[in-house]
Amino acid sequence: MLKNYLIVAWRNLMRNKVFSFINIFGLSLGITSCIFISLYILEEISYDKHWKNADAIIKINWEETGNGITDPYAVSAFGTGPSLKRNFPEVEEFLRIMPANNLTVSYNNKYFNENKNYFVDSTFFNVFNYELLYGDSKNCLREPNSIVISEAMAAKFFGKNNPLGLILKYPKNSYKVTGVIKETQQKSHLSPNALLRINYSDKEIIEQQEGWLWINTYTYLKLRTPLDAVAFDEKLKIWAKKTLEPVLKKENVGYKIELKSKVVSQVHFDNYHADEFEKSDKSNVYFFGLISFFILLIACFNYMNLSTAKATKRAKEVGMRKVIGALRKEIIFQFLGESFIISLISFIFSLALLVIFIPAFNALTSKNIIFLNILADFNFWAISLLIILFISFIGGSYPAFYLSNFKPIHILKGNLNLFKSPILFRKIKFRQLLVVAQFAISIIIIIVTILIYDQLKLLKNKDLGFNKDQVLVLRMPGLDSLGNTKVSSLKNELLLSPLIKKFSTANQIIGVEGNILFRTKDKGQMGQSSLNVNSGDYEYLDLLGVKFVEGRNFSKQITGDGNNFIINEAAAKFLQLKNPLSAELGWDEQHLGKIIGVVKDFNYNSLHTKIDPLVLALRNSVGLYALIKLSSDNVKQSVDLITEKWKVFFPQNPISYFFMDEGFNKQYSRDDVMLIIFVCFAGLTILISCLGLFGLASYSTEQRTKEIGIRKIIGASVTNIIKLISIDFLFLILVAIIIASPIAYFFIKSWLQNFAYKTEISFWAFLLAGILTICTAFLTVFYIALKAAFTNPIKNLRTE
Amino acid sequence: MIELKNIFKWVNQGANKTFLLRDINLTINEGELISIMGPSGSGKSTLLNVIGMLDGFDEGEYSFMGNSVKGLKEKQRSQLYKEHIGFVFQAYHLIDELTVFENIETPLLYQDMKSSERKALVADVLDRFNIVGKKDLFPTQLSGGQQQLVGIARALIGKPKLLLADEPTGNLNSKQGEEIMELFKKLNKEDGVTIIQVTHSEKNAEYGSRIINLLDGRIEK
Repeated sequence: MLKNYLIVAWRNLMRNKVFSFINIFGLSLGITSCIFISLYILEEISYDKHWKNADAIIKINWEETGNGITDPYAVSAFGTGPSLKRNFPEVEEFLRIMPANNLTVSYNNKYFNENKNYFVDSTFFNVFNYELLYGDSKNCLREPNSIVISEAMAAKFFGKNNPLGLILKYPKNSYKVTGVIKETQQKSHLSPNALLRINYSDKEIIEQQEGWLWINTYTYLKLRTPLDAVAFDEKLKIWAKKTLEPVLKKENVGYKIELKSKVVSQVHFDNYHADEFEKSDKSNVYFFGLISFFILLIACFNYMNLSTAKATKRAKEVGMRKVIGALRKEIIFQFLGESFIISLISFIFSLALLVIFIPAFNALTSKNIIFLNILADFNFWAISLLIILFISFIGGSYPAFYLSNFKPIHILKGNLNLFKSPILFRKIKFRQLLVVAQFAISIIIIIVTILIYDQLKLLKNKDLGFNKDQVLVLRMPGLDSLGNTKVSSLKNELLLSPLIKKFSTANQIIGVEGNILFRTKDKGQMGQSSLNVNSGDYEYLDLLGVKFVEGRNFSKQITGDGNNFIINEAAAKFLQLKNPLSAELGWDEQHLGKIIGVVKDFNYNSLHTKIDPLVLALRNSVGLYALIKLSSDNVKQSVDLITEKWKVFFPQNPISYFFMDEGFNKQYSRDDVMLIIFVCFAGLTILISCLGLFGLASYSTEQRTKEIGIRKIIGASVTNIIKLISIDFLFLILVAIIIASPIAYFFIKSWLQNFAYKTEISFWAFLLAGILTICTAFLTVFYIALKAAFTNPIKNLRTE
Repeated sequence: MIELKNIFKWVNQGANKTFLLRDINLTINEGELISIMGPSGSGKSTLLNVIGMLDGFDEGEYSFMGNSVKGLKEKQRSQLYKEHIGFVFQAYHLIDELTVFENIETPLLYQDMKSSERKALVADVLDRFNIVGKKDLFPTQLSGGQQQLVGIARALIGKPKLLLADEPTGNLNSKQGEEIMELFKKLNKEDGVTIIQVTHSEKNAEYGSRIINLLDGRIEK
C-alpha cells in the first residue's frame, strides 16, 4: 500500500516538473530560513542557562530615583555583595566584576591591547562554573595577583604551551597565570578574556569598601534556592533602608536607591540598563520567529495552491480509489504522506542551502555556526522534524481533508461536473485568498524594509550639532605616571605637522562618562540633580565644533576653570536657570564652581535617545581617548604619521584607534543588521510568492488554452490576450497592497518608537513597495501570458 | 441479490420536485446479465449509481444481499465495494500515474492482501485478458479499448459477485465494443458474475438476459 502511494507521489512529482520544482524550491527556501532563524533563536535563549544552579544565580541592579526621574544602573556599589551576604542567609556567595578594556598586556616582547579584562572576587568560579583547561578552579583566584586567562589569550601570548606560573604584565601590576579557561560553545553575557583577582589591599579598593554612592561594580549573588524575585526584591528594599538610607541622609542626597534582582539568564536580554555588559533585543527573537513562520507559511501556500490547481485531476483518483474500497482516512493518509515526502525532499535540499549560506549567516549575526556541529545537535533535528511535520500538515491539508470528502459519484459521473459545481467557485476564492495573503506578507516586509532604510539614512546623515568628520580617536592604554607628559609631547609633535589640525583628550567619545549628583545654587537657592557628565581638555569642545549659545569655553588664560563647568541648553532648561551664567554648580556643597558657558544641544548619545542635560567638566589628566582632527583628506598619510609618532612615545603599547564617524555609526550596527535581515526576508518572500504566482498563472493559462484560441480566432490581439491573463493576477496584488499597507504602517510606527529621531513615514515607501511588487508579479505572469498569446490558435483547438 | 422496492429519487428545483427515479421496483438475482436502456435523462445512470450505492435515494427500500442499504456507514459501504462490487466506467477512470499492473493491483491493496498473492492474482487476470505485454505501460499509452479492458480487469480483480458498468462501450468503436460485450458474456456464463450495464446500443443490450427500459425515471413494462 505504502509503495503504491509512494509510486503515485513520485510519478506525480516527475510528471509535473515545473510544479514540483516550484514546490520544492520554495519549501527549501522556507525551511532554510526557518532553520537559520531557529538556530539564532535557540542560541539567543540559551544564554546563561548552562550554569550549575543557573536559576539561583542573580545579578543585582541599582536604581536611583529623584525628582521623579529614575536612573537605572547595571552596576552597584562595591560593598553591596559582601553586605548582602552578611545580611541574608539565603545568599550563598557573592561575586563582583569590574571590567576594563584596552589594557596593554605584555609577556616577554609581546604586547597586545586586551579587552574584557575582568577584575573579580576569588569566588568567581563558585558562581560561574567555567571549565578550566589548566589550573584548579577552586584555588586559582585565591592569591592576590593571580590571573586566569581565556584559551584564545593564552594562545596569543604563549602558543600551545602550558602557561601556568608565567607572569603577564598589566599597566599597573603583574599577574601570575593560575588558570586557563577552556573555550566553550555555551553562551553567556560574560565573555572574559582575563580574570584578575581584585587586590583587596589596594588603596583604591579599600576606599571603595564603604563608598555607597560610588557605583562601578557588577554584583552577582548565588542563592541557596532558585530566585523568587518578588520576595527577594522585598528583602533588598529592607536592606537599602537599613544600609543606604543613613548614608544618603548624612550626605544630604535627595534621591532614593532601590535594588532589583534579575536571574542571570535574563541579563542577555537586558535592554533597560545602558551599562549592561552585552545587549540583545528579546523582541527580535519573537519578531524573527514570527517572520520565519510567515515565510514557511508562504511556501506552504504555494504547495496548497498548486495542489488545488491539480485538484480536478487528483479528484478523479480519489473517486476511483473510493469506489474500489478506500476509506476516507486512507485517502487522508495518502495525501498527507505525499506532502510529507515533498517536505522531506525539500528538507534535503535545504541542507544543501544551509551549507551554502552558513558563512553569510555567521557574518551577519556574528555567530559561529558550524554545519557538522548542527548535524550533531539534537535541537536541530527536533526543529527540522517539527518544520517537516508542519509543512506536511499545512501543505497537504487541502487535498487530504478537502478532496477526500468528495462523494465519488460527483467526481466520476463526468469530468466536467466538478467545474460547474459551486465547490470550484469556493476553491477559486480560496486560491485567490492564498495569493493575496502571500503578497500581503511580502509587501508588508518590503514597506518595512524601505522605511528601516529611510530611518537609518536619517540617523547617519542627521546634523548632530558637532563635527565628527575626519576625527581620529586614539584609545589610550592604562598610562603610568609619565603618561600625561608623554601625551602632551605626542600632541606637540603631531601639531607640528600640517596634516594634523587639532588634538584633544577626553574621557568619553560617544555616550556619557557618568551620571553624577550635582549641587546647584541659583539666586541663593540650593538644589540637587543627577546629570550626565563628560569631561575633556581645553581643546575638547573646540575640536568637536560645538557651538556656544552664551558664555565662553574653558581657557588656559583664566585660572580656576578646573572648578568651573559648561552645560548644554537642555541642562539649563532642566535646571530652570533663567540666567545660567550667574548660577553655580558642583560635586559637593562646599566646592561650587561657576557655569561659564552654555552650548547648543548636540547629540552626544545615539539618536535612539533625545538629548539629555549634560555637564561638561575640564579634565586635568589624560582620559581614555585622544581625539585628533585631521586637516586633509589624505587619511592614510595622517594615520601613518600618527602611528609612527605613537611608537616613539609608547613603544610598548600597540596603537588602537577608530574614526569618530565610524564609531558613531557603529551604534546603529544592530539596526544595520536588522536592515540586512529585512532585505533578505523581503527578497525571500517575494521570490517564493512569485514562484507560486508563476505556477498558478501557468496552470490557469493551460486551463484557458481553448478560450484563448477562440478569442484569437475571433480577432483578439496579443496585447488583448496578455491583458486578459495578467489582469486577474494584478488585481489580486492590488488587494494585497491595500491589506498590507495599514499593517506595515502600524508595525513601522511601533519600531520607530525606539528612536528619539524618527523618519517620516512617507507615502512614497508604500507606493514604491506597491510598484515594485506589481512589476515583479507582472514580469512573472508576463512570460506565461506571452507564451499563450503567441501560440497558434489552431494548435490549441485541435488538442481539445 | 438486489431488491429495490418503491424507490423514489428527486431533486428540488425551486418549489418543484424533479423526479429522477419514480417508484422503481426491481429484483435482480445472482447470475443475471441485465441491460438498462432508455433515452438520455431517463435515469439509467442514476439507477445504476443507486444500485452501486454511489448515490442515495429519497424514498423506498433497497436491500443488497439481505442488508438494508439505507443508513450504511462509510466503512460498511466500502467493505461491500471491496467484497462484492466492481465498477466499470465509460471514461475508464484509470489512475494515470500507475502502470497497468499497478492499476489492477490497487483494489487488492485496500484489502490487505500479501504481496505474493497480489502478484499471482494480477498475473492471472493479465493473462486472461491477454494484456500481459502491456503491464508496464501507463494508461495514456493505451488505446481506449485497451484502457477499458484494464478498467474491467481492475473491477474484477477482487472477485466481485456484481459488476456495474456505466456505458462501458460508450467511448469505444464497434469492434472494441463487441469484444468487451463478449467478455461480459463470458464472465457471466463461466464465472457467474452478475452484471448490470447501462447502454444506449440495442445491439449491446441483446447480450443481456433481461432488458430494463427506463423512461422519465420509471420502468417501462
